[in-house]
Amino acid sequence: MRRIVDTSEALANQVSDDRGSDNEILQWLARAPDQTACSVDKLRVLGVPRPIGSQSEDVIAISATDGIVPDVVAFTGMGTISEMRASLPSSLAAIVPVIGAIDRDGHANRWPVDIALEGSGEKALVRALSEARDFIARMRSLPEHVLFSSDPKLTLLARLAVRDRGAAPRRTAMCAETFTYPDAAALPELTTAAEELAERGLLERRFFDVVTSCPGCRSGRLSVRELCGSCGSANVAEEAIIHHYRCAREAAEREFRSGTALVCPKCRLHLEHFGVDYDKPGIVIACRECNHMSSEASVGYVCLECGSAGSTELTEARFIWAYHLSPTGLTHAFSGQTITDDDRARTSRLQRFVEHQTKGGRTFCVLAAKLQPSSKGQQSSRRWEETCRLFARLLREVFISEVEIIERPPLYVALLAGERPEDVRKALPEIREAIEPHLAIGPRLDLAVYGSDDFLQIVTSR
Amino acid sequence: MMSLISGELSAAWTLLAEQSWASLLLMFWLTVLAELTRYSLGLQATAAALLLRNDRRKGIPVPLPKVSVLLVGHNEEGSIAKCVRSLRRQSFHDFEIVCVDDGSSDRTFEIMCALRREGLVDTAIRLELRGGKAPGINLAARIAHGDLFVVVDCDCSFDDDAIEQLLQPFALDRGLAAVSGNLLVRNAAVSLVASLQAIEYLVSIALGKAYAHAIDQVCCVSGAFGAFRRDAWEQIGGMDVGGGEDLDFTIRLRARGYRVAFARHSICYTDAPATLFALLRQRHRWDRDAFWVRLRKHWRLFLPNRQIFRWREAVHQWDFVLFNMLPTITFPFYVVWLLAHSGRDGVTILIAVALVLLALDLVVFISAVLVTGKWSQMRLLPFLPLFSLHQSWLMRCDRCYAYATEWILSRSRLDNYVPEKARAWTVWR
Repeated sequence: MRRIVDTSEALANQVSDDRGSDNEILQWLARAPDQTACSVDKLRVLGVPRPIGSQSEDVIAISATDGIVPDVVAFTGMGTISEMRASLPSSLAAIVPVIGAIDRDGHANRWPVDIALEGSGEKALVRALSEARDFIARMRSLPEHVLFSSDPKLTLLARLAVRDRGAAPRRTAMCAETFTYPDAAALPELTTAAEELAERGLLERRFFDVVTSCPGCRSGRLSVRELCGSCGSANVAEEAIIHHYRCAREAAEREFRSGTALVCPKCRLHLEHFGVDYDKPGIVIACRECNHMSSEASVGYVCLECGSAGSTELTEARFIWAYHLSPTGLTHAFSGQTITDDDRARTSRLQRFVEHQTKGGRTFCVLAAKLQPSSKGQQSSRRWEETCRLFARLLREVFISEVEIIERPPLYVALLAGERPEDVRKALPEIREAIEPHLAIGPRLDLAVYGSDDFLQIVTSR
Repeated sequence: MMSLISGELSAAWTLLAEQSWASLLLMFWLTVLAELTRYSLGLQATAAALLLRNDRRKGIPVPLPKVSVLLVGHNEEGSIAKCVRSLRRQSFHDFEIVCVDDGSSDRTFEIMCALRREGLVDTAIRLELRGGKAPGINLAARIAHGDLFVVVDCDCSFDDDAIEQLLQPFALDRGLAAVSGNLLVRNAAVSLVASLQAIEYLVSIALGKAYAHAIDQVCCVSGAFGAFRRDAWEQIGGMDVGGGEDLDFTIRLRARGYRVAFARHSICYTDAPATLFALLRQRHRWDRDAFWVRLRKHWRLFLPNRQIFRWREAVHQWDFVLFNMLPTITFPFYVVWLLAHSGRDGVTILIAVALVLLALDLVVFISAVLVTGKWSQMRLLPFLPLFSLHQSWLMRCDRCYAYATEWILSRSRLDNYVPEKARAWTVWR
């Protein structure tokens, strides 16, 4: 059941609790008439940009100026992002289901439509509203503060919960990333929010694709081709190697080619029977610029966005995921529970550890490890991420399993209960020895040990 | 026991003292001809000359043309990386490395590619079908950009200045077509068989080739470690099909009038067969190939009436026949004759010969160690008493068998060293 927003003060307090004041939401609430009350059984349909002209008894046509939370939005114009933004606060706009004509041309400035409005007139709208019934029911089940939350993570959960679907990406050549989430038009912070939610188990990642992207500008629009390993030219071609059994001459086919015939350049005999007097034991990639040959060509890229070029080893492989609500995520959306962010979670872990040790009067120290990229040569971010992951695993192996390690790559903090800082300092060379030889790209590893007093001082000062 | 040996020696001495010079020569002709004059005296003279003249130089006096190292391997996953890393540690390092994987079924090519990505190898070529070493090297030579080729085996490693020492003669003598490196055994400690081969390599290559170099008779630039000028290489069309391609190629170079040298300070280490079976298999192949190359392929070099005939080539050809083949083939007959002719005294004579050879080996071995300057090789000294027995009895009999099978059955044409598809073309030319 849906209540009209008539308690703007209470809602403003809720919003304020959620993430501080939000001017956009307060301005919108200020539009609300004092005693606007509608029957809960009627559907409140917000026409954007103009109210709908429905005569149905079950439908209340509202306008953006009414300040009423709609059950559904129906586009009466082009259905652009700016129209939608002008009509509703961004979080509410992202959550409320939308009826409109499907944009088959994929215009970039269109708001994503959830239910297609097929045809025009009252009947088409009734049909669409009937299809939107489940959406509306779920929309009405959301706590009010969720609709106005300034936390994009909660908004995303609510948006997916209302639609009972995941956020699936779509391949496109129209943007530099070469894929897009249609939902991102309604919620620009979608990718970051979805990743954070997935880390917490509120969304489930499902593999969609991998995009190879430019290490400079992260564009996926790359031209990838084989290059000469010697001069870097793309003017390369495959050539067969010919082995003439009789004289042991083995060379590229072009050296044997004499018109349409094959003639051995060493003994001048015609090569006539494949498998009897000659064969082709392999293929080389020959450069037409410098004549270099190799069986394994380098593969290079040119970024069509920024024009940078290099070996594909330097590119980033970005995994593209579709995100689906997990059962916990669904519960979270309908309960409207606040989601703490990563840094806050890390800080609270740290605080808990310090409080626990201090209360018990126990000695403790903290080992901070920071990885820094090697200054030698260019490294791909893929290798760097891999190195960070490997480092985290090795660091965990150095200590017993009870030691808590807080990770925020490339910074890692090991919380060492019952350890004296001088003992840990003595063990630093051993720790380095256990880790550094395994890190192939040889990053710089800075290690620092803080005793309880030093650490508390740092924490207090911050 | 000691009294028995001293009794035998005293009897042998009495027997020998009673003989006239003519009858002594008749009794010991094989030792005098094959061991004393041909090898020991020459080797010792060379050793003395080399010890008086230290020709080791540091650095290369003039800029060299571009150098390419050619590596061809078949199933060399265990050794290729070590070999390449050893090459990249060289004091002279201005060279490209061209690797050819000759139809390996293991990870050889993957390792080559990994080395290429590390920047240690310049070119890696994969052949799906094995063609043999000669075509593989020919392909590497066609792909290489250098004007000097250094050919190495994948199971080799090197002294840090090995390439520098190998290339120095080219800088000093622009007329040289090829230089052979010095080979020592790396795995001598693995077994008795390997230790005996280590002594053999030290004596026959380090000192033997130095001797050959002194008289312009270096007739085999080892396929394991040697360097060639590109123009000479191309002039004779690279290596030919068949086994013993290194010997064959060197003989062809020399027959064209090119000069070949030996760089004794350019030291390469290789693994010798560790078991007797592996050793005999390897030597069968080498001996059959030597027979095939010298007597079947290059027989014209023996005959003065042939256009190709040159005295300096005839010398090493006849040397092979007179001081290698002949003693080998006559050895069994000699032993039988000696035992039949002298009865129990024959055994005494053979023991006396063995003792004389041991004394010669000792002098030659120490000379070889002095000449190479590798004092670590002195650790092989305890194995020396077995060396002459190993060489005179075991290896000579084995060689006799190899020559006989090659002479009568042309067994080299069945060697898997050359793939079957190409073997049929190893014709006598």
